[in-house]
Amino acid sequence: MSPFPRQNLLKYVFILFYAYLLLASFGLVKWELNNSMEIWFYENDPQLVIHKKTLEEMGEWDWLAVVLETRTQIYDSHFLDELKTLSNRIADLDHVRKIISIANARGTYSDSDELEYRVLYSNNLSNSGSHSAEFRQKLLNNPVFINSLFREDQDKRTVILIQDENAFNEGGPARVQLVNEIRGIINEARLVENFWIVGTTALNVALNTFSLKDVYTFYPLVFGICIFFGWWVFGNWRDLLVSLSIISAVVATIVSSMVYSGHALNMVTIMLPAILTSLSMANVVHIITHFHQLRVNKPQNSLMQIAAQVSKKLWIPCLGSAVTTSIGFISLTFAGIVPVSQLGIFGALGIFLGFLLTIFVAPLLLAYLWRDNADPVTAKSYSLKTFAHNVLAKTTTTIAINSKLIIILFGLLAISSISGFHALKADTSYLSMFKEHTEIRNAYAKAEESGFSTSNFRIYLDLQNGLEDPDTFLALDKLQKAIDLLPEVIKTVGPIDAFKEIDRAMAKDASWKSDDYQGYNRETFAQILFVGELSNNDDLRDLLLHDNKTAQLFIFTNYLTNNELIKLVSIIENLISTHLPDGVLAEVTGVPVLWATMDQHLIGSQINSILLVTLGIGITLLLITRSIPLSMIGLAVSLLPILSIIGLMSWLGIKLNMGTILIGGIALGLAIDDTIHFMWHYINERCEGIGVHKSLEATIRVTGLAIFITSIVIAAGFSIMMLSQFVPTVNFGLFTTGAVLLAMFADILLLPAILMAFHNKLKQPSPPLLPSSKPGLTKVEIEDKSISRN
Amino acid sequence: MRKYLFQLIGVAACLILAEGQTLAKSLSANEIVHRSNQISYYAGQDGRAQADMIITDDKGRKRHRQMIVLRRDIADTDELENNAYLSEQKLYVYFTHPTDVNKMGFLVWKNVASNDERWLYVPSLDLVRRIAASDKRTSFVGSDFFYEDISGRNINDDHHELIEITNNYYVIRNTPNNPAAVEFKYYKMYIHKETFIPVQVEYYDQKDELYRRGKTLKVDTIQGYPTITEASMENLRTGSSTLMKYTNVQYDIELTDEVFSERYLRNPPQQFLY
Repeated sequence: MSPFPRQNLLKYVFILFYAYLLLASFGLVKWELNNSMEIWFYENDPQLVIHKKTLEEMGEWDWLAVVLETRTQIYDSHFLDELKTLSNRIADLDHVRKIISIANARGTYSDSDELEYRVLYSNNLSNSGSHSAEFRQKLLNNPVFINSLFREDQDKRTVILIQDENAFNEGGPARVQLVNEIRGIINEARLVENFWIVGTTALNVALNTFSLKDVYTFYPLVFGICIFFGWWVFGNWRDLLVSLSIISAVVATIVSSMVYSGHALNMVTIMLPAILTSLSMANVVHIITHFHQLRVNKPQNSLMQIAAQVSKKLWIPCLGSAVTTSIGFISLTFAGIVPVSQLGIFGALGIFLGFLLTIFVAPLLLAYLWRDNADPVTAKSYSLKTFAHNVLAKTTTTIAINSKLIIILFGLLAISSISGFHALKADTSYLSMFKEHTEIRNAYAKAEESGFSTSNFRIYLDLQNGLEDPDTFLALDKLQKAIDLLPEVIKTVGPIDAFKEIDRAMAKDASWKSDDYQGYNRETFAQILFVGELSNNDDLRDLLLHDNKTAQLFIFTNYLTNNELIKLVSIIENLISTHLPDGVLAEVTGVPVLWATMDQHLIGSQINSILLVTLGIGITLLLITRSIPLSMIGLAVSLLPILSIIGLMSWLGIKLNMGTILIGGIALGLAIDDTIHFMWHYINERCEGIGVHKSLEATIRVTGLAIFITSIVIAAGFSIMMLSQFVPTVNFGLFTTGAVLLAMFADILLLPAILMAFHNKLKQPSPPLLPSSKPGLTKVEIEDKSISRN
Repeated sequence: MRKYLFQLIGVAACLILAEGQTLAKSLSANEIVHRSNQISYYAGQDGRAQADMIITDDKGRKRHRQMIVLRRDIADTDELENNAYLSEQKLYVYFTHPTDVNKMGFLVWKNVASNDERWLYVPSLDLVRRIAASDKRTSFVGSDFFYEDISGRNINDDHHELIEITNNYYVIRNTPNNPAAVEFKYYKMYIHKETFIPVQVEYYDQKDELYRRGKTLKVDTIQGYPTITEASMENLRTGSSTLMKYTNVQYDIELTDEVFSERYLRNPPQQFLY
C-alpha cells in the first residue's frame, strides 16, 4: 500500500509546505551577529573563569590605542593643544572610561615644591623651542610614559591610550560605533597626518565588520549560484522552484532555530547558510534527476507512483550520505570551541532536515507541479547532454584500458600529499585572518613599525599580605623587571610604577635615590601608597585596588600569534613561580591569552574529527554495501581527497587554525556522499545479474552525471567563500572546493578503476537492504552473464 | 453672636497662618544657606571629633578609615549678621586607622577668597610635604566625600534660589557662578527649617540627572549645637558610597593656632587627640 496520500491531497501538501516555509522564515528577520569575546568559550572554561574574575575585580575595560603621525613635532604646543581637545572629545564618548595622551597624562610631581597629582602639560607654555624641549624632558623623566605614549627616537608619532569599556559579552555594535566615532574625531584634526587604531577592540571591530560583509556577500551569491545551476541543470521553472524551496526551507528553519534558541550568528556560523544551501541543492538534484528518469523509463506510472518510487529508491543512499555528512559536522564538536561546535550541531540538524524534506516532500512537490505536464523532462541543457553522451559514455572504456594507471596516479597523489603531514602545524593569528592591505593589517604594521605596542595582556595578582608588605613589593618589582627584559615585551605597567612615581615626587632631598625603596618597611610602603590615595591618583587605582591586595600588571607587546603568545606566557609563568612568594596568586590572563589557549587542542581535535567521521563512514558503507572489501574501497576513495588536501596545506605552509579546522570533517562528510550513491547504484546493477563492465557503465552514465552536477554545485557554493575578507574562510572555501572536486574525480575515475581492476578478487555484492530487491545471483552466473553481455 | 465669633476665629487663624508664611518668606535663600553653613561648619569657636569612615565600592567591598579631626575658626564670632562668622578655618586630621597609616597627619588652612593650603606628614619618612590644593572637588582620603563637603563650599561660588518650602524643609537650588570650574550643573539642598541642618544634598549633571547624593542620617545636639553625627554620600554613577560617623564631638576646647602648624604635624597634640 502506497504510503503517500491520494492525488487530491497533493495540493494540501503543497500549501502546507509553503505555509511552513513562511513560518520558518519569521526568525530570519531577528538574526543578530555577535562576535563578542564571550562566544568563543564555554562557561566553565578555566581561562575564562580567571579572566572574568579579573574583570569583575579590576573593572571591565581594556586598552585601545590610536597611533598618531603628526605634521609637527609632538612637543609643539599647537599640536598638544589640539591633542588635548581630541582627547577630551574622545573621553566624552560612550563606553570610554579614560584617555591618556601626552597632552593630558597625569603624574605625581613636586616641581613647584607642592606635591600634586596633575596633568603634565599646561597650555600656558609658549611654543618656544626651549619650552618644547623642557616638556620633552619632563616626559622623559617619567618612565611610565616612555614607549607607551611616545618614544624617545620618534618626535612625530605619539599614542592616545583609551580605556574602553570592553564588555566581554558585548556583541559588537557598540564597539563598531566607538571606533567609528574615534575615527571621525581624529579625521578632523589639522595637525594629524595619519592615524592607526589598534588593540583587541579594534581587532574585534574588524572581525565584526568583515563578518557582516560576508553575510551580504555569501547569501545572495550562493542563492544566485543555485538559481543559475538549477536552470542549467533542469531548464524549467518547476524543478527550479522545488529545489529552491527545499533549500530555503532548510536554511530558514536552521537559522530561525538558532535565533529562537538564543544563538546569534558569528564569524564561524555565518558560513552555515551558504554551506546548507549548497548541500541541500546537491541532494535535491539527485531526487529530481531520478524523478524524471523514472518518468521516461516508466511512462505508465502515475506521478504519485513515481514520487513514491523515487523516495523508496533513494532514501537509503540519501540517508547514508546525510548520516555521513552529519557525522562530519558533529565531529566539529571535538574542537571544543563554541562557535565551531555550534556550526557542527546546527549543520548536522540542517543536513538531516534536508534529507527529510528532500526524500519525503520534494517528490510530492514535483508530482504536484508536473501534474498537468505530460512531457517528461530529461536533461535540457545541451552542454549536459553533450557531456553525458560524449564524455561519460566513453569513460568506462577509458577506465577499463587505463585502470592500473589511474590507480597508480591517484596513489602517487596520496603518497606525496600524506608525506607532507609532518609539516602540519597549528597556529592562529587573528591578525593574519585579514588580507594584506586591509585597514586593520595596515594599522598594526604601522603601529609596530613605530615601535608601539599593538597588543597587551595582564597578570592578575592576589597579594595576600598586601603590596605594602616589603617581601611582596620587592618580589613583584623583580618580577616586573625580569619581564621587561624579555625581547617580546615592549612595556610593562603595574602599581609599582605608580608607587615609584609618588616616591620620586616625595623625595626628601637631593640625597634621595631611586632605589631607596629597597630599604623601606611596611609602614613606609603603606603611607606612600596612602599618599597616592590622598592625591586621587586614579592611574594607581587602575592597577591596585584600595585594599592594596588586588592588583594587575599589564604587559604590552607587539601582536603575537597564538603559539608565540603561549610560549611567552609559559616563560612568564616560570618567572612568576621563581620570583613571587607563596602568598601571592598570579594568573596570566587577558583576551589574547584566552584566544591563544583555544588553539591548544586544534591538531588533536582535527585528528579526532577525521577519525570519528572515518568510523562513521566505514559503518555506513558497511551497512550499505554489506561487504567489507567494498566498504574499504569506498572508504579509501573518500579519504584520499581529504588527506591529499590536508597534505597540500601542509606543503604550502598553511597552518591549522580556526577556519581550516573545519575542512577535515566537513569535506570528508561531503566526499562520501557521491561514493555512497555510486556504490549503491553499482551494487543494484550487479545484483540484477549485470556484469562488472556494464554495471560500471550504467552507474557512470546515470550516477556519474548526478555526481558531476552535485559536485559542481557544492564546489561552486563553497567557492563563494573565497570572496570572504577572512583568510581562514577563504582557505576553507578553497580547500573544501578542491576536496569536493578531487572527490568527484576519485568517484568517477578511481573508484570504477579499482572495482574493475580487482573485480575477480571481490565476491558478488550482496543484495541491497530493500526487501523488494531481486535476490542476488551467484558469482559464476554473473560472470557468465557479464561475458555474454560484453 | 455665635456667627460673629466664628468669623473672628477664622480671621485670626488666617492672620496667624499668614504671619508664619511671612516669617518664612522673610528669610532669603542666601540667608538660609548662610545659616546652614554656619551650623554645619562653624559651630563653636573650635571643635574636635572622631570620624569613622566606611567606604563601600560598587562590589560591596568595604574599607575603613578612622581619624581625629580638629577645627579652629579664625573669626572669633558666630554672628550671622554681615556674615561675620564666615572666616578662614584650620583643620587638622590625624589618621588612626588602618594601623599602617597611623600617625599620618593632614593639615588644611581653609581660605575663603583663595585656594586652601594643605600639608601632609608621612611619619615613616618623617617628612612634611606641602600638597597642591587647587581642586576642592576631589575625593577626601579616597571616600565619596569631596574636600569641599568636609570643609564647606564657598557660599559666593553659587547662586542660591529658594524653590520650595515644605512643612519641614527649605529647598534651595544652587547654580554655580563658574560652571566650567565644577562638574555639576546645579545642586539642591533640603535644609531643615528649625535646625538649618542640610538633611539632603542632591547633585545634578549636565543632563539634569542625579548623580551624587549626600544625606544626613543622624543629628545630635551637643553643647547646644545641632551636630551631624552620621552622614552618607553616594556616587550614583559608580555605585560606591561612604558612611561617616562622628563621635566624641566636642566644641570650644580652646584649640590654639599653633596646633595647626608643621611642628604639630610632626608632634601630634596628644591632649586634643585622645
